[in-house]
Amino acid sequence: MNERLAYLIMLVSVPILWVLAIEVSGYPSFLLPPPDMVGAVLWSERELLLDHTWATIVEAMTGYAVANVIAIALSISFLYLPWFEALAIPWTVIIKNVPFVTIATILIIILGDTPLPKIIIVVLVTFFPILANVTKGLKSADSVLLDRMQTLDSSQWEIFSKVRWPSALPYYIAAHEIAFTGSIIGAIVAEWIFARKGLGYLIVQSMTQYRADRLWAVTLIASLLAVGAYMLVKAVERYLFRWQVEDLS
Amino acid sequence: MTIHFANVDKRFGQVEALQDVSLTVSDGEFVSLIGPSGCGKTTMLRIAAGLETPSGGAVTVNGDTPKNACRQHQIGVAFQRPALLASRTALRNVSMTLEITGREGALSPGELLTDFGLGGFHDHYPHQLSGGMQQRVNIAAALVHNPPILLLDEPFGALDELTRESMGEWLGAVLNRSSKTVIFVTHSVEEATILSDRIVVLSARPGRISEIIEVDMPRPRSRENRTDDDFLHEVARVRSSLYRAVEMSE
Repeated sequence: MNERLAYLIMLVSVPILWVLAIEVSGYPSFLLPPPDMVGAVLWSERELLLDHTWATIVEAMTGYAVANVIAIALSISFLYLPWFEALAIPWTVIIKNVPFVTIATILIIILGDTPLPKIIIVVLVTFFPILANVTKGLKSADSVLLDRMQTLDSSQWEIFSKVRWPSALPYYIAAHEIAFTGSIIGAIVAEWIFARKGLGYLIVQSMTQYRADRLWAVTLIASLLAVGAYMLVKAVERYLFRWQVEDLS
Repeated sequence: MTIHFANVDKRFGQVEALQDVSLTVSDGEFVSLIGPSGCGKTTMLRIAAGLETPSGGAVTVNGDTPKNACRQHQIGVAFQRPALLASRTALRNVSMTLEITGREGALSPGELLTDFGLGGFHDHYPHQLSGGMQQRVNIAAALVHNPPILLLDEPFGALDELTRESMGEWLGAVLNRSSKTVIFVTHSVEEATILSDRIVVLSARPGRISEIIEVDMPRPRSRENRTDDDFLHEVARVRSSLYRAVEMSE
């Protein structure tokens, strides 16, 4: 089975299953709106929806950029300063495992409805997979290559740029597969707790107003964003590692 | 370029990897190190490459420390596992050496690969090459900056018997055109005999030199040599010396 075909089948199946679910369950349209009703909301409220979608994207991408910078800087310092890694591990374990919704709530109480708590939450959700993968990747450099570099009297920078980083790159891309989508989910959850902007806020608002049609529209947009983020990472991965699939010619 | 081991000791914790090893490899000489596992042959090579420091005694490369020899780009090394970057083509793996050492006095990476029988494979990635081809790229990467010294640690150890034989002959021919000083670590008596001027037989626990054998035949030697009586006689001499070294190790 070809992958493209499988995706196509899924895309076609979603509205069919949707309509079937309505038929079978018998829920009224104000609880379970049909696709055409949601489509109408997507069109008529497009400006509102785009506005809030954009707010979510900005928070998610800002947080994600910060997470990347912090995680990569930490990974590199772990490589050269083992004592620092030993010192930092308990902290990263705590940050990774404390349920982030509770931290999010505390942050929002302290910082209020500003972009800062949302960005911090996105960082907390996404930085750990990047840190773990890049740290592992930098250390995965082949010892034989490192020996070769040493006998050529390479500088630390040459060893890093020619051997360590290329070895870490597949690990880094794999981290994006998990974390990039996570940045959007993190931003939505942060807005969902308390905000006046963004898809998370629209979810809360639609829920309190019993606007199932808009709730479904937001769900569609959020899903498209997350899936789009994943597809983007996959496309970058295919481009960067295109040499792996090239056949013998 | 001479490599001089003077009363070298090397300990890893409680293990005595090398004990009082003295050896002089003279300019242009091909010396093989052979012996049972744990005899310290790889350790000797790694010390000569500046990758390990001796616990006692000293190793000098033309009167200087191995590290300084590395600094002057006088040493090329190749190991059993090819030191190639998966994301670089064969050509770019070879030229990576020159990105570090500079091009002065260097050979042309492309010409070298073509000379090594890889003319059609410059743009292939390591995973697209056979084990023997990868090892040729690896040796090209070790040779391309034209170092006077070549240190080879079982470069053909992972190859099948026939590929290994032809790679040995190929290496003998390649090195005969230059006048490099070579230390070659191997497990194979035939390989050591066909390539070397001298064969150093080591015994294990502690690693020490058991015997040094001069191979009394002109280099380079080829496939025909493998079946003639003189060669077989030399192989038998080396093999019985190796057996003595193994007995000493137990």
